[in-house]
Amino acid sequence: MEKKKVWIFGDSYASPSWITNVPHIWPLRLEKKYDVKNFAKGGTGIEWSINTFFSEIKHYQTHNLDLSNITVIFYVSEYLGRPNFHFIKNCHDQSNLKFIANKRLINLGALSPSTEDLKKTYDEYLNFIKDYFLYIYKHDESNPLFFSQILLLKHVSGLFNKLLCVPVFSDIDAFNEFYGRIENTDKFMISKGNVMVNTNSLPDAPNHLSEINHDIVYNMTVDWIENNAVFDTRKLIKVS
Amino acid sequence: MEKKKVWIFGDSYAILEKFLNPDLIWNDTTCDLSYTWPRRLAEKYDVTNLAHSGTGIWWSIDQLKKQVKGLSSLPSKLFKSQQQKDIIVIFFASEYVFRPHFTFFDDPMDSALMKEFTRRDRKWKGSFYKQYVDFIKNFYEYNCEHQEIDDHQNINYVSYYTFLRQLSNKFNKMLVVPIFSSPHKLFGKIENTDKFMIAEGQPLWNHDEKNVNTYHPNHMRQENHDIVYNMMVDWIENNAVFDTKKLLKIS
Repeated sequence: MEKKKVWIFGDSYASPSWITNVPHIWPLRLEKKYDVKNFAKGGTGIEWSINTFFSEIKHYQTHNLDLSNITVIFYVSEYLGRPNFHFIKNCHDQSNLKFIANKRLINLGALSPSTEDLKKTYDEYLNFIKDYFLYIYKHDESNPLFFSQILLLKHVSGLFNKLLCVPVFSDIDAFNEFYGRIENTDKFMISKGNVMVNTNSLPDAPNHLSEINHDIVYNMTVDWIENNAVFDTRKLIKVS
Repeated sequence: MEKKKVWIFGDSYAILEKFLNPDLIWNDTTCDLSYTWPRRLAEKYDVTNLAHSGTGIWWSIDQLKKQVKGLSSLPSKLFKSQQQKDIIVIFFASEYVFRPHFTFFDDPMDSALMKEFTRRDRKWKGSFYKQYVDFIKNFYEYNCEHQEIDDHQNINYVSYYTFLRQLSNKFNKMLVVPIFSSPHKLFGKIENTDKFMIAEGQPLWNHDEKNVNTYHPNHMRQENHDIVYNMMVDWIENNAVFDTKKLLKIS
């Protein structure tokens, strides 16, 4: 029997790439069970993931290829905090720009270059990066761009078998009072519970999850793919 | 009988002209602005017009958000929600990429000037924005110009039209009139609902009027103000389709 087709988009929470091959991580386990194309890259923002996603859609539509048998899993990262500037040499660096924009030197984790190295890499653009976070990012922190990207995903979910949306950093329920709740449909589901980063994160662990949480995420993902079961991050074991 | 409550958002296409600026009007135009559709609508309904020339879509959405927050001074959340459900929203959907939302604006309308700074030396407000010119130029170069601009814009237009449709659920109903670009259909049509309608026809900017009536109030002549007013009232009263194909063409 042909394996189901699954596309995965997002940042480090969904990426299969780590320095060492760790077989228990949920994206690699999913690849064994399904025909997976994983486009997720650590450190990337929503805009980068959305552009990648829509390039694929456009390619399929242009060549009359079938999208309706593809299941999509989309880990929704940050928007303005991870800009997709053309001078970025490595897409992973999107998440680090805000750290090199200020004078704080922080530990970005064992897998990231140091902020000093990043400052050297982007020396030519440093003033622009600082200005960006001064003139846009702060101002727009509360703007509805994140929310609108979820709606965009809901809109195109009709083209696919179905689409699961997992917010990584922003709690979608916080927007409900003003924007209204985004309803699930037959083809679209938003995960329930806390955002991924809140309670379960281990900075240097693969996908920032403990082994037991990889099991839970894997099982919930399979249960959603097979039975449309709710993906609920409250089932994850909290990191104390 | 109480007048229906109407909130209007957008750019120059929707502003309520409060006074005549003789520098911006052709010589053969009457100085009487009572014919303009925003004026006439404000007479018929209880209108709050928050449109502002030169502004972009997200600025208007901010105004909408502030306006809703203003209702929160009302006694209870339930009452606020009921009030919001009475309000009819007319949203003239402006630009996104070329009307950004920077913190240093002297006036929100300066949003429309930003792209100009990348093309030539601006005299007007040049000294005010002198310290920001490098940033503005770089913003477009690093943020926009490397992307396939049509795709980038189409994706963003779909995102904000679907966003407005989501917001419409909280109101009596919402009409969205595209000014510069209609939502792209490549990724699936954005369907109307009983609370949400996107105007049919070309975006207003594509209408021939723009070439000859740039400086007229709302960029259209009196006959077209009549047509827009009548279509607006017909949508408010009867949910009739608002169709820009009904506007008269100059050429």
